[in-house]
Amino acid sequence: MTKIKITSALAERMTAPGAPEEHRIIVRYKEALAIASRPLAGITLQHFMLIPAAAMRASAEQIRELAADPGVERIWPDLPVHICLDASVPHIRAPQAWDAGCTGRGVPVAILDTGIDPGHPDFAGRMLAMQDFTGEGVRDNHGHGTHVTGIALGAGNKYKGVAPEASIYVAKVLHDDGSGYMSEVIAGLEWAVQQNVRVINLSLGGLGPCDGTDALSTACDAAVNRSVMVCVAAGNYGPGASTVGPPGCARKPLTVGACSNQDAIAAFSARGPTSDGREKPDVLMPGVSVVSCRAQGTSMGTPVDALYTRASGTSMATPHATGTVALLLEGFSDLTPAQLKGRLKDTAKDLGLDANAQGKGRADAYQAYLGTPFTPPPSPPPAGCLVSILQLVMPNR
Amino acid sequence: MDRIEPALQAKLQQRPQDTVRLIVRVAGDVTQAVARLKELEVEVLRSFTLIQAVAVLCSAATALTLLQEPWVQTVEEDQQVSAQARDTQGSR
Repeated sequence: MTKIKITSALAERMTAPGAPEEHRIIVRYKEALAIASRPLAGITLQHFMLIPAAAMRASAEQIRELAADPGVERIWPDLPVHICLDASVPHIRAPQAWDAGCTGRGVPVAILDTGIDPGHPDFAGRMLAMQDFTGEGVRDNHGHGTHVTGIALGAGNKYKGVAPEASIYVAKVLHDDGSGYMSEVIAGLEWAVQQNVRVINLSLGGLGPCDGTDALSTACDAAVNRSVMVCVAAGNYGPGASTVGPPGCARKPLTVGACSNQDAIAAFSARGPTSDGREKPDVLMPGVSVVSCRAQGTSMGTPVDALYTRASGTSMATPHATGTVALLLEGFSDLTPAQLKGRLKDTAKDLGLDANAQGKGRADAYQAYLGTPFTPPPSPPPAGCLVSILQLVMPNR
Repeated sequence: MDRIEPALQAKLQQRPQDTVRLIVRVAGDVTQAVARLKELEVEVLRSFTLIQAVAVLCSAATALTLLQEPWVQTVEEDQQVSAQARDTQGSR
């Protein structure tokens, strides 16, 4: 009974590796009881008027004592609030990983794409190196690369990406029309490996089917062999079977398909198997109507304002995985690419779809941080965003 | 994997005058391979270290002669890849 009173989000925090001695909690009492008259186990910070509850700091032991009190109805973690990148970043519970201390701080991440808008404020102070492999200069005149970078690494006040404190490396391997040659991408991969990045994002691909023996796919495998995690898009050629194209069919990278923020697979998300019979993709991530950074003067997607635009694709799903890997590497820097890939797959939320549609399911940043199998979100959902506070104060909304 | 995909070989044979972009995987020293490719009037665009290969530009007819070279492991098309966002026409 006492366990039921403690939300699963709080229980996870109490037992997580490196859990703090004290936790910030909100304790809700039964309406009929006067809170002020009851002995409180922790250090009370504030009594609320709108709901019969109090915010306090308490140790795990004190929380268990509170849960045993018949006058206590529910104990939630008192979460910091953030303004998040649209809905997708809270959906994969990246804010909970931030609250646990992992924001990707200093983890070197390379985005190989159409370049970047180096003046975008959401990347300020974190762009450590840029290299052009197209002959056009590194500036993003298409918009795709800036959008992808924002999802993985943006740190805006208005919209925040998955790993907002990671270090940014940019290789322009796709031309201003959004396409390029495999040889240019391989050159970008080599540069990123030489820069000693820990993660590489490839939101690009060609037509399937494929068996993973093409030059680009094997170069991705070789990068992983050099201890660099590589996240690649499954491609947008679904929903037919065997539509995953190179480098999505590579053996060692994490191949990412797309779903909505309601965990419905996107029709366009490419499906496996590869032409040599392997299951793909590995996981899904949100990739439908994602708002992220807009390169100055470009019109990719549906612009929201001067700094942000909305777009869909496995291109948008992939940087959610890349950012998640950066979060993990801050917390667990010794994880190998194979372990990182395994962790995202093993902790994914099973959507009950075919393995060649969903892989292991929709990956979840906080669950990957915890390293335990996915459990249903607690109630109220600890979105880590303003919405969770609204649900706490007005539970019937 | 064959040294060349039958479909690519047929394409090269059908239009020998066309200029083609290829990735050639080589056995042994890449530097020596680059030198030999230049002798064969093949333009070397890039050579790689992650995989033992070079990106080249040459006529289809020359590409077919590469298959006679013992150090050539595979010849494949330098395929185009593209950004995987939907209905996006980038522009400034």
